[in-house]
Parts: sequence; C-alpha cells; structure tokens
Amino acid sequence: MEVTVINRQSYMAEVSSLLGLITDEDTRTSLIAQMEHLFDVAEDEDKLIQEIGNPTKVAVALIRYADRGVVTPTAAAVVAPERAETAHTEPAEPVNADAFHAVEPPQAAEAEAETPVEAGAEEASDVPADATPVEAEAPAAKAEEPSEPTGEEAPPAEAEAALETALPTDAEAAPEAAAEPIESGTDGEAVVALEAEIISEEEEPDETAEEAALELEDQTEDDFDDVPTEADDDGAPQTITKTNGLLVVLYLIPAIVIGVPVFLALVVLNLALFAIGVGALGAGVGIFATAFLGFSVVADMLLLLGGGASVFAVALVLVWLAIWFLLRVTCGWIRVVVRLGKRFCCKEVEVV
Amino acid sequence: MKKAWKIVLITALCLLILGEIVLGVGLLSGGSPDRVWETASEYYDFQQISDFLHSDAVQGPLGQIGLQIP
Repeated sequence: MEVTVINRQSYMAEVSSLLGLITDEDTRTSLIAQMEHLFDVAEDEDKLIQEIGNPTKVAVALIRYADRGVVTPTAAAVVAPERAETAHTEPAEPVNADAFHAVEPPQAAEAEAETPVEAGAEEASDVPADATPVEAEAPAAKAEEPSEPTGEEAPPAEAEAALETALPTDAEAAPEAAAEPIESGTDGEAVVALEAEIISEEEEPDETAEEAALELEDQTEDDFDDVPTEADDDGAPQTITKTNGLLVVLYLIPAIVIGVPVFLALVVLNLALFAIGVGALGAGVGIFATAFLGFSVVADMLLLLGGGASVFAVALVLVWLAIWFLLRVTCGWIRVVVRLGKRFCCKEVEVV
Repeated sequence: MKKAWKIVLITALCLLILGEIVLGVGLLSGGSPDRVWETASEYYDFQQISDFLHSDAVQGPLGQIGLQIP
C-alpha cells in the first residue's frame, strides 16, 4: 500500500471531489459524512489514512458501493470499519444484495441494537421500493448528522454492530476485491477506468451510431475516391481518337445506300402518323364546335359533345405516337448509323 | 419518355371515357344521329369536303405512302 504524506483536509477534499461522480446528492452527502465521522472517531488520523488507503481508491470503492451496493473491503472500511476488520478473519458467507438494509443513525441503532435486523427491515419498507440501499441509508445518515453537533454520539462500536447485521457479508466482497482491478492500479488509472465504465454505458449507443455514421461517410468518400475519373486518372495512359480515311469512304457507301432509304421511309411514316393525328384532332375540335352551332335538342348536342371528346382522345394518342416515332425511331436510326461508323472508322491510340 | 407516355395515355383514356358517357347519355335522352346530320349539313357543305379529300392534292401524297381515302 502506498504511503503518502497527506492530512485529513487534503484527503477529504480529494475524496469529496472524486465522489462528485455520484449523481445522487443525498448518497454523496451521506458518504462524505461517514468519512468525516470516521476521521472524527479515529484516534490517529495518519494511521487511519494508512489503513483505508489512498483517497482515489477509497472514492472508487465508495462510488461502486453507491452505484451497485457492493461493499468491498475498501468501502467497508468507511461504511463499516469494524466489519472490514473482521472480514479478513471470518470465513466469507454468501451475499444477497437484496438482503442489504438501511443503515440507522447511531442513537437509533443503540435503542434497537437488540433487534437490528427487524429495524432494518422496517426502515427499508419505509423507503421507496426502487431506492438503492445507500439511499435508504441516507435518511439515517442525515439523522446522524444533527446528532453530532448536539454531542449525543452513540458509541461507534454499537452503531457498527448494527451495521454488521444490516450490511451484506464480504463473501461477495472477497472475490470482488480479488477481481477488483482498481486495487492494483494506479490512482489515475483507477479514476479513469471507473469514469469510463460509468460514462460508456450511457454513451455507447450514441458512440456506436456516430462511429457507424463516420464509417459510412468514410466509406462513401473512399468509394468516390476509388471511382476513376478523367481528371484524377493520372496513372492511366492518355488516348486520342484517330480516324481512318479509307475506312470512312468504305463505310459511307453502304451507309448511304442502306441508311438513307430507311431514313426516308421512317420520315414518311412519321409524317403519315402526324397527318392522321392532326386530322383526327381537327375532326374532334370540329365536332365539338358543331354542338354549339344551333341545335335545338339538347340530346343532339350531347351526342356531338361526346363524339367530339372521343375523337379528340384518339387524336391525342395519335399525335403523341407521331412525336415519339420521330424522336425514338427516326432519330434513333441516325444515331445507330453514326455509332456504327465511329466504331468502324475510328480507333483510340495511346499517346506516348 | 415513359412518364410522358403514361400522362398522355391516362389523359386520353379519361377523355374517351368521359366522351362515351356523354354520348351514351345523349342517346338515352332521345338524341338522333340522323337529326344531327341534317342540322350539321345546313352549316357544312359535306360534298365540298368530300371532293377536297378525294382530290389529287390529298390523294397524291397519301398514295405515295400507301394510304388511300375511300
């Protein structure tokens, strides 16, 4: 165990600052009060400091005790000093966390020393069901605080005897102590480890989500980076298109012989479609307009209006078919001829 | 192009259905195509229109592309 020259004030200041990790203010206050009480009843403060260990270790143990109710030998030195002494000599007993009862103030413990377990059960029942054992201990600690200034200090031995039966045994604490990595680590590592433990549980989902988002961004950036572009493609050799004149002449002859008649046929077909469509459009509009020429019978007007709308619908489809034919078929034929010619006549040559 | 085709076809279909409904209503409510033809012929010279369609100006180009008006 490290021996450091430190006085009570420094020790308590450091423990208090480290206990700030405990979110529950009542628990924190009660633990600090217990530490103060420990120093008050101790005969030799330096010896006490040597016995309980460095402030970081004590703070970490107390935080664990506050968080999970686990009493390690280091924490027991504060919350139950006498029990901590007997823990090294007595055999360990199985521990049940639910068996933990609230700690009673010294004067109350003195009155109920005969039946400490029952009193602890009553105290626990008064406390809300979801309260931690330390929270149940807090009212008792608070009741303990005003008793000190008044001077009615119950013998610490009797209070600790009440604590003995209330607190869980150190059977769990013994393996916990053996497994406790903080005991063997340095101060800084202990604090960092515990803080990381507390914080990581809360922030893990966010961190994993953030990490996944970052990975996705990196991946997409990498993907984009991997896509070769002309600007970035510095490694690949540059090529230029060279046209062979002889091949062009050779291609032009069949292209004209075959391509032009096909093109003309397509144009004529397109024009015919367009003419039929426009004619149907005109007929539809004419029939529609005839309805308003001067028919006396409404039924006759409805006949003309209905007929005009039907012819107009068909005309619409025909005109659109003509436009589509022009864009897709006629222009497509021209594109095919040009593409074939490029493939036949042009060649890509690497520039040295 | 696909979207344009969809729009045109849907519009044409709606117009056709509407026109057929109106036509049906007119027929059911006592409309007569003969009466309609007689009244329309007072305003239009159908003979002139028929002569125009059968003239060389129209039949010539149509004949070149393989079409013919009966």
